[in-house]
Amino acid sequence: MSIVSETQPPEARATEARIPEGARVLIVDDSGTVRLKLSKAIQTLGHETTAVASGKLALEQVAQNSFDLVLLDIVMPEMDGFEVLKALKSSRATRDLPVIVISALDEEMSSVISAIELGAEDFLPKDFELALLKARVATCIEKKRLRDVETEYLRQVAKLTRAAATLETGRFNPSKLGIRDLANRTDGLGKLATVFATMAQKVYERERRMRQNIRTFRGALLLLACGGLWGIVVPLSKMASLVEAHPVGLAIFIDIIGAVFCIGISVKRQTMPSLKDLTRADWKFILGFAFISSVINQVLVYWVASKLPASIVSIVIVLEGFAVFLFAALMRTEAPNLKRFLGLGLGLVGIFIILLYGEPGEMATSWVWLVIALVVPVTYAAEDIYLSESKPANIDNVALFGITLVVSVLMLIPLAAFYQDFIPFDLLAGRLGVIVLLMAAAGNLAMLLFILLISSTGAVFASQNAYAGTAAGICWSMLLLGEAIPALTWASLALVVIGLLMVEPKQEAEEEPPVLDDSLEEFVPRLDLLPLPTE
Amino acid sequence: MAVAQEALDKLLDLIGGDQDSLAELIESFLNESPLLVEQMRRAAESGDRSGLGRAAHTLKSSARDFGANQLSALCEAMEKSCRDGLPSGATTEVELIAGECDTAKQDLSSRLADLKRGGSE
Repeated sequence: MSIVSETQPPEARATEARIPEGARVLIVDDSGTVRLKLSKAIQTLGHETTAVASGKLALEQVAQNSFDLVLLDIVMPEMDGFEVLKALKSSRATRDLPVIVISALDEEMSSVISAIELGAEDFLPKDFELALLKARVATCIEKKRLRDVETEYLRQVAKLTRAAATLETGRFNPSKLGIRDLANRTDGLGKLATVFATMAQKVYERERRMRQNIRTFRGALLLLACGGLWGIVVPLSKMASLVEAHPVGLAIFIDIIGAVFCIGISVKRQTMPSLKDLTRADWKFILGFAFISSVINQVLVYWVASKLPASIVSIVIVLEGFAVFLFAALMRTEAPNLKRFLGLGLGLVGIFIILLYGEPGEMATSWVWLVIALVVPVTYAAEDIYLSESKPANIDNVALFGITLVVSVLMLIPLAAFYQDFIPFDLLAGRLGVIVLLMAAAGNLAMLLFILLISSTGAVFASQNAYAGTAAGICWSMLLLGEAIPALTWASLALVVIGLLMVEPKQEAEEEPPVLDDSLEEFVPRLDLLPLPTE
Repeated sequence: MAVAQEALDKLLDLIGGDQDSLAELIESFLNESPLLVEQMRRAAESGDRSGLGRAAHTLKSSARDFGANQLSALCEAMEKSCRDGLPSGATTEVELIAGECDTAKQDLSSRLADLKRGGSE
């Protein structure tokens, strides 16, 4: 007798399409006539059937497809019903699949008992009545569905538990907790998931706001420290020039002290990169940075400060913020609007009032120097943009600055030689030596803080250190040099500050992290809390 | 009558009252039963007790489904006697079953013809 597997897809599919809740029933019997009889009977009840002729084929079917019920003959050649039952119940994937054994009730009661002991759900006599078949099949399928619902419920509880564990770590993304589908449930668990998801969102928002506040606060502190230190550099430079003006020589000494200091720290902290490891791009940045920062900015400020009152130079430097904004707008990294341009105009008007009418007597003789002074904020701004756009991220800030200072000194020496601008050594022993030391400490520390600031907050935010620098510069100028600030200058300065407030970009736009941040995914712990199927 | 009408009525009821399905089932039995008889014959000749018992078991159930009660009873007796060892007159018994099976098949064949005629009218 040839035994082949046979399936009844055409009618079965049609049946399933009509009754979507129709169950999938696997029929296992070595007799083709019995398979046909069972298939027709089960299809009459509105279920889909697959019939196979041997235990081996049954296990293959179960491995490949999902079923709601198995009707299993006990007496079969090769692999009998008991072996199939054992195989089904020993696998985690199939142990919950209900099995009804089919037996000739009269003389096989002991077989039925054995089958039920092996995990069969129920039994059906070979010459069953339709009503009995209907009742047993319906009961089994109902049980299976209840169990499926229960398993799904436990799975979702596990999901929620996992989400709670994630929430406890404090770093998570509420959209990635995976409980959105849970919240769609209409039962108590769904309500719990909804409450949980809302709470998680609130906690996330709060944490994010807190982190952002901390960042803003840290930025503001850095800004004030940086500006305050900058501020003292200009009056000190003025004091140095009163002893004897050597702008290039002054820059050389300050850079040497800074270089020794920075490289010393880097070597001690073991953050100094091997010079061989620096790429062409790194050297390109260092050369550019040394040129803008030392050769242009440092020398220019020291030079201008020797010709103009320190408070005026400080006030002019406030324009750095405007210039950075202009550059950023031109480079399209910052959206310009009418309000910002009005602010810009207002600030410029204020500066010109100060420059033109602030101290008429002195100004008249310094016209050329005023124009030169106006270049300072522009080159400062160029430095800001250059730092924020091109600084290599893989090199430690202190080490990078140390190397830059060495390069600066090497660039400044030929310049000093050309202009005969070296500071005579005997002068350094006196008052000038103290000033140089103070300038080196303040200037280099300010520059280091500034690199830190610009790396974490961007050029536009960092350029605001100019305001603090200006305020500090005016105060230090009054304190150290006894420079008087006329009322008109104060009023104009107020105009500049209003202008700056109008230009100032929104801080959130600068530092807000995207709401759906994929990088947070790594903080989600992988807990395998999925429950084992219930017994 | 070799075949009991009430068994066929029950079978028809079981498969939802569809005459064509019943005809299909009868055809399946007509094809399968000679194969089972042949299987029993070979098992009896070669002394394969469990093979003989299994074939008798299968034919017993099918025969009962189609109302071939005499055939079913013979198969049941054969199945039972196979449990204790190969029956002494196994080959003779199998021929008895084969004869009864032929009788049942003839009866079912004529009913099948009736069914098909009834279906085409």
